[in-house]
Amino acid sequence: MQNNTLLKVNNLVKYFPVKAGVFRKTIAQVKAVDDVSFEVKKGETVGLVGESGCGKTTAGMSILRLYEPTAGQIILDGKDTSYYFLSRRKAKKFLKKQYTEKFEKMKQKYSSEDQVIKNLNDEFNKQAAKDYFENPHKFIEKMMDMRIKGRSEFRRKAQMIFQDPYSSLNPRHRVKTIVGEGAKINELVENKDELKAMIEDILKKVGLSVDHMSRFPHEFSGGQRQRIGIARALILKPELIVCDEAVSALDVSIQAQILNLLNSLQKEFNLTFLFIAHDLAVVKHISDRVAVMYLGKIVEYTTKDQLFEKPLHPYTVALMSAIPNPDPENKSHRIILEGDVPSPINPPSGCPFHPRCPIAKDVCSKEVPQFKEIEEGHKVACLFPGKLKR
Amino acid sequence: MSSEYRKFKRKFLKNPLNIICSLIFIFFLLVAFFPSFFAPYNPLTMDPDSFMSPPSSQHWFGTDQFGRDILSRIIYGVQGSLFIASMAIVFASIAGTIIGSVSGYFGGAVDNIIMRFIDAMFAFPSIILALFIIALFGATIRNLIIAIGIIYIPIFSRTIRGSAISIKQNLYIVSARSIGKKSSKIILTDIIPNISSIFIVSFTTNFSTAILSEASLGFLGLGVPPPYPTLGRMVGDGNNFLLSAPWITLFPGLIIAVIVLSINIVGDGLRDTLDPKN
Repeated sequence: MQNNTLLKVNNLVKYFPVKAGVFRKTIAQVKAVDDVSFEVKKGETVGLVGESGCGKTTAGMSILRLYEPTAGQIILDGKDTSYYFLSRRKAKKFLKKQYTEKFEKMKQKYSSEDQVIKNLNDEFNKQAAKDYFENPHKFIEKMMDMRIKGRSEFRRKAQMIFQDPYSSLNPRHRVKTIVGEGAKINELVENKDELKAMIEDILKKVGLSVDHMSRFPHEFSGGQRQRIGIARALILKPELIVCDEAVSALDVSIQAQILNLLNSLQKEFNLTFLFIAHDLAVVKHISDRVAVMYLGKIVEYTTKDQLFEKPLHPYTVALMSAIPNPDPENKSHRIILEGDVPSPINPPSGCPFHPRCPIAKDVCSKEVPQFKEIEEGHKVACLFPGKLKR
Repeated sequence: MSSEYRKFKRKFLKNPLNIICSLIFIFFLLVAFFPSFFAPYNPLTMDPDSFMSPPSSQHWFGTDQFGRDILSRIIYGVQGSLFIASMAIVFASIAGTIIGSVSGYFGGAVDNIIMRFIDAMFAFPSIILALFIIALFGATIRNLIIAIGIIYIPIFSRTIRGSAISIKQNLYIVSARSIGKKSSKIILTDIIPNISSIFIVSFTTNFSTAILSEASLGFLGLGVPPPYPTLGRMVGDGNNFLLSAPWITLFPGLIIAVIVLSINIVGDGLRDTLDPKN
């Protein structure tokens, strides 16, 4: 396990069932997040961009287990957290499927345990396989023991800043209750004085003053409310913060303030951000790396510079061409995508982007493009990467 | 919060009808709390000199077939009726709030099971349910409270469940979960405080109908056992003398109507002021 990877998401899937009829039979699945894998290094900011309805928020919520994912592995800080929030029975089933069955099947296929370990593609699962083959029973047992303790640890380590600062604060609670609640629940403080000192400290750090403590949320502006939301998450001393469109509900001038605040807090607390946004300017400002999502899948994942310099996926190219250019002399060539985003209930065959892709060929509707590394640190899911030029 | 309260007070008192009905209701509350202060006679003493005497300066509301002063009986009856109805509603509202918020917050299978059970209670005629309980356990004040309370549990559960579901959509519930708050605590500190306005409104409106339920049980002879007066029983007892001595029935009936009407208008006023749409 590399030490600098904080979050690793493997094949995350979240389907929402569509139910109808008297017996509420499931007639279809909304494939909100469909096989998403990426990793986030400690201390970096990863931007997750895509248009409305592409599953960015669902992905963020599933990672924090505010929705229970349909499938997939979420590894935080070197620990598989995927089964933490499942019931005992389901957690056992998950571990059996994820580890026991998988490893046993691979063992039959590759004949030796070392070969299995060698053929696993990521560090975490290699280590898991090693532990598993040493003592299968004890391995599962140990994982189950960690479940309840892991839950509260996960809830402390991973936090979220929400899009709408108006509905994310309980209108009946004072600021000190909203901010202090997390510390109290997670037992970070021993008594009231300590809690008060902690709240004061955090409020100052996010740019609010101590006399805001006993006010109610409705007495604040949008930007200030978002600061309260940040303080609420920050008091737990988290490692990962998922910012779900954290600035899109704010004025542009306030947006800059909040982004700068997030930036300085990141340096101070060594935070890792997963920054979900639809505004490319915001993403460009704050991210180190960017993942582009389309219809529940990540289509391109690379560093910010590479993405803005040399986008490879046609969808990314089209997105980039939509950024307004302030220079009137330089008339940019816009790539206008035709049609609407297809329904995630019934996504297109082959490459999900092919019905709208300007360079789509016949093969695109048949073959699903693999999400693979084309250049160093530049992953793309396209059969013809880089063929669409600006 | 205090500014919110002031705003609410100003809005509520703007309507003169609200003020009048609140005052009437407060007057009846005072009567219920201090009946001995208001009643001119003992409600149980029979006066052999005046059977069924019409309203006069001595007996403002007349006397009944045993010569008991109707005004005094009404005053003590108001105490009984208000006590039974309010206790029943307190019982029903607490139970209904717990059931409704749990059902609405958890949703899914839990919600389905609870709500089908509530549906079954709704399907049962409420007065018959109360009759059944009283017939089974006897007509004591405690059983009356439980019987009437049970009638109102499904009503509260439904209302509270509906608003719990809408409160649940708010991001602050998600954010409470994201800091590791337990479900029971989310219901207590995030859901229930935010449904208080709906709670107040349904409390008052159901309170008035609970008074009517109590009166109907009394009318059917299943209220507080005689000779202790309740408004419903007085109406029922006077029924036989409706033509010869209408005042025996008229005055208790009138008082029931005035109390229920005033509570209803106060309830409507509360709803109008607490409704965020206005």
